Amino acid sequence: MSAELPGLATPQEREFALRTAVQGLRENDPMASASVAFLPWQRNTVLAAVATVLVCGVFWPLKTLTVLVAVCTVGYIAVLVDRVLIFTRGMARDAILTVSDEQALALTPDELPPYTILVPAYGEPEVVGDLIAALNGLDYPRDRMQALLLLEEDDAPTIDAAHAAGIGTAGSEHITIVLVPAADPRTKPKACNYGLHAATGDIVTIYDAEDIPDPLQLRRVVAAFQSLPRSVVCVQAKLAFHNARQNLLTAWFTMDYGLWFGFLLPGLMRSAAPIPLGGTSNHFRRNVLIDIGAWDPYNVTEDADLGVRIAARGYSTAVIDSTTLEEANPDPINWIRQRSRWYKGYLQSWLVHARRPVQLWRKIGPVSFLRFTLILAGTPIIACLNLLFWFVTLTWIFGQPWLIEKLFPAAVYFPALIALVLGNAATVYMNLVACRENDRPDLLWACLVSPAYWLLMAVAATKGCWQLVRNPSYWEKTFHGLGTSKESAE
Amino acid sequence: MTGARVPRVIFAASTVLYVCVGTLLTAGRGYLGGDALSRVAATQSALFSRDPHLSAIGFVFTPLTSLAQLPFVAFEPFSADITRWGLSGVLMTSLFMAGAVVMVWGIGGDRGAPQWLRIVITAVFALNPMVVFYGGNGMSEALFLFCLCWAARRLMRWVRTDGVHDLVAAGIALGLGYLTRYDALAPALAAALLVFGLSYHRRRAADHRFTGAAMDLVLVTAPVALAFVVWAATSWLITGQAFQQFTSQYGNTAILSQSGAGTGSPIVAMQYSLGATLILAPLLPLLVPITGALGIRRRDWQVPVPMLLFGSVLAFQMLSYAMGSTFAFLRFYIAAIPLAAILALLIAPAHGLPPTKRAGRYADIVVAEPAPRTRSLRPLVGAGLAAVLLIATLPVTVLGMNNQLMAVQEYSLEAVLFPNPDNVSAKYNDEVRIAATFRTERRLAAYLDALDLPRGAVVMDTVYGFAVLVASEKPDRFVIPSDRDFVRVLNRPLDRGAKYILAVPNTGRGTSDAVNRRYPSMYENGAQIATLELEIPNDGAGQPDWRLYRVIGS
Repeated sequence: MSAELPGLATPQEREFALRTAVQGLRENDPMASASVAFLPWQRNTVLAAVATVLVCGVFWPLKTLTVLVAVCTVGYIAVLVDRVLIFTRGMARDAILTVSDEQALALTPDELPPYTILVPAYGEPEVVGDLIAALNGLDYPRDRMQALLLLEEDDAPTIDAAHAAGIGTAGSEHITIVLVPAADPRTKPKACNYGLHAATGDIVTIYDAEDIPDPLQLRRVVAAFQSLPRSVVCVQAKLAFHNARQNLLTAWFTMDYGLWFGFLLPGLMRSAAPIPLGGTSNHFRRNVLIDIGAWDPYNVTEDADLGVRIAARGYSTAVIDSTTLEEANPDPINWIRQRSRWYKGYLQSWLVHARRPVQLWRKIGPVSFLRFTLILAGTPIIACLNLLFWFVTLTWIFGQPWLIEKLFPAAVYFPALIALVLGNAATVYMNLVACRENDRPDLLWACLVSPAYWLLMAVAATKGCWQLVRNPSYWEKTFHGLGTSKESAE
Repeated sequence: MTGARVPRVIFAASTVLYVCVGTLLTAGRGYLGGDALSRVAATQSALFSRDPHLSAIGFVFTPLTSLAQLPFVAFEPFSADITRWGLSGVLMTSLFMAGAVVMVWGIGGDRGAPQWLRIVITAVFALNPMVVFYGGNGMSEALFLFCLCWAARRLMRWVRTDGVHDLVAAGIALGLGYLTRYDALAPALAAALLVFGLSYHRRRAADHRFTGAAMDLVLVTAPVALAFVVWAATSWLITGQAFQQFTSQYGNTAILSQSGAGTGSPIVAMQYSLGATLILAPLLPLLVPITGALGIRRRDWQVPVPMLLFGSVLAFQMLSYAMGSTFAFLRFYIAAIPLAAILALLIAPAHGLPPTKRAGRYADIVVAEPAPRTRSLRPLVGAGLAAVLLIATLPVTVLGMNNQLMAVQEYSLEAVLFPNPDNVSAKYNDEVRIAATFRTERRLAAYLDALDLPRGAVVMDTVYGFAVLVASEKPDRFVIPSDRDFVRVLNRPLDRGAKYILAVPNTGRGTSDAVNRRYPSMYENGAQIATLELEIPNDGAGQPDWRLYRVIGS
């Protein structure tokens, strides 16, 4: 239990840990924290832009709309071209870091450093038992492996389930339950930050309770860190799903992840661009992780944010060919909720890192800066705009109203048409290629009907963007709630 | 010379050769191909007509031949010669034909063929008179050959590497091929069958055997399917007809019935097709069985690739000509030339694995090669022999291209290249007439230019009028069917500021002329709205006598 852990042994230590978990980044580096969504200048810029558009819209409605359409088209084409470019880079056989089984197994015991695995879980009593099997499956000396199961203090069902599964008793004594004090925000990054105080490993990683990592993953990562320059402080493993065939949504989700982790992330790595990390199976050098402020508890995609922060501090991330199997979300409503959180988080992370644009531009270079914008801000905004432009296309095909013809003068019309046709086709095609190369040809039909998946994405993106724009007080509320919990903790 | 520089040198040298020959024939000797010139006119209309818009490129023929000329036609304001002599087309086809030559060179390299064999075969292909002529005359053949050779090269690689890059590139090549010529559907189908068959065969022990093969099939055919759908949909959205080639008054189907070109019996048609193929590649009857047998003995899946891709094009042409739905043109069989060249390369056994960024799961495993001394010399002797024979049979192609019956569109080259005023044979007379085609239209354009008319002063259709249009200094003086107000101007020429109407006889292809469709007696008597100003007898072959009518009251 927590009490035995070095960093969390005394009440004072635990209180300090909680405070730094929640406030650490915000106090040490407020500009890196998403506790405030928009800085005043950012909010003013957005408002000024909206006002300008509205004023122009009143005086020159048609011209304003045409310019907006043109700007969107340029954005589309930029995102599209960049995506295809990254994909083709990721397609090279050596784009992803590969450590063979032989290399991984050849590591002698004294080459294996202490390793900490953080497993945050909240309200998941049914899966917590699987954890033992998954962690026992890892090929790593038990005496160098520290697994911390991070549970919320008041989440009794999960705590009971963990005890019932025998965690911490014989056979799984390397797993320790850490009870995270009940305090807002109740987010995974907060739990991880808290658990980090008890971590003793040189390398720290995160798994979800239901994950099934490749048994050699930890060894592969150690070998990778050995061979990579010291500036590489994070190794991201590939994520995939074991329930691809459950329904069409899980098939789409599998296809999506296959493209993202198999080719786009390796392509980003080759391009030396910031890599938005996946939610789990990212392995960090612990000292650097702590040094750069660990996870932002106010960011809903703390993983993507951390990936950019790693790049912004001059470090880098590698993507390794080792797969962790997860469970894909099979329920559309649930999926939309999850995806809207991701999209919102992407925008949030973009806003955070764009607070000092000149500084970031200088640090990571113009190309990476543009690419980071296209990925983090472009992905959700494009997914949103899709809805609008599909509607425009359908209206045009069926009605050919004069307004649409006026909105698209030739200089806008042809680029827009190319973006529409080639953009959609290229995306389906990239998914097909990725499925072939991931040896998942059984997802052929899912790929071919994937435009319907984009409809779901568009809904999720709209929801996420709406939440970010319409409800910035959402974060303020969180902030207030946090204030009270901090007081009560004191 | 290092390995990477050789293709560039070959590309540059071939381009220069084709540009020189093409310019000599067009600007130098005034010898222009009708189809080539009409593509130039279409491109010009998109940029410099009264109503410039991209869809003016037209939907009867697939668009790539015209689109690829856009960057060159854009310089037309600096010199009208670019369009008058079809130089934009010359430059465009030179680049693509040079690309095809580089592909043939590359196929030899991918296969690890000996250097001397690569050099000889590539040279024989590049210098084939048919390739040189079509490399510089602005027709769609050069693009089409480039796409076919590119697709063949990448599919031949895929057979060995199972690499997805090769599959994708072959698919894109075929898709672009479709945008060049409708015939590309045949090699696309052949590629689909080959890819599915081989992929299914390879996966006999794998999970997802069927979907695995289906995935490969989809990857290679998707670009063609996209090109097909997008082109038909665009055409439908803009013109209301999805397949104008077959349904439009200007399409091939209509041209065939207007020009009364019947083929007679299918047997005769078949004889023509075989004859044309043999003229272009006399060695094929030898090469196909030899490489076929070698392919079976070596279990070499590369052999069927060119046979199927190029063979399907030839078969498609034979079939459609036998069914009376196309013309007896030698150029439709031009695919036989690269086929022969590639098959000759295949006689030598493969060495090593083609370059690949990402070999697939079913890539060939290269076994250690035997020492050169123990290697059998027989296949190399055979390949050398084939190369010599390819050179030796080039005169057959030359003679065939000079044959009035077999090469309607090529035999007049004799009069263009070797003018001989003393020759009084009927054939030579025909050649002279063909060589003079469009000369009248150029004079007509010069006459109209001299009148210094305002914009939109002359109404005409481009069925025949394209030749006047490209020759004119000011294409915006003409009102043409791609102008969105064409029908309105045609209906009330006087009110809309038109001064002249250019008319052609209402017979043959002239019946599709929009002026004749609106005013059937325009050519005869001015249809009571115009008076005859000038009659221009045509001294070119297959072109109509023009009549320039002045709109009454203008």
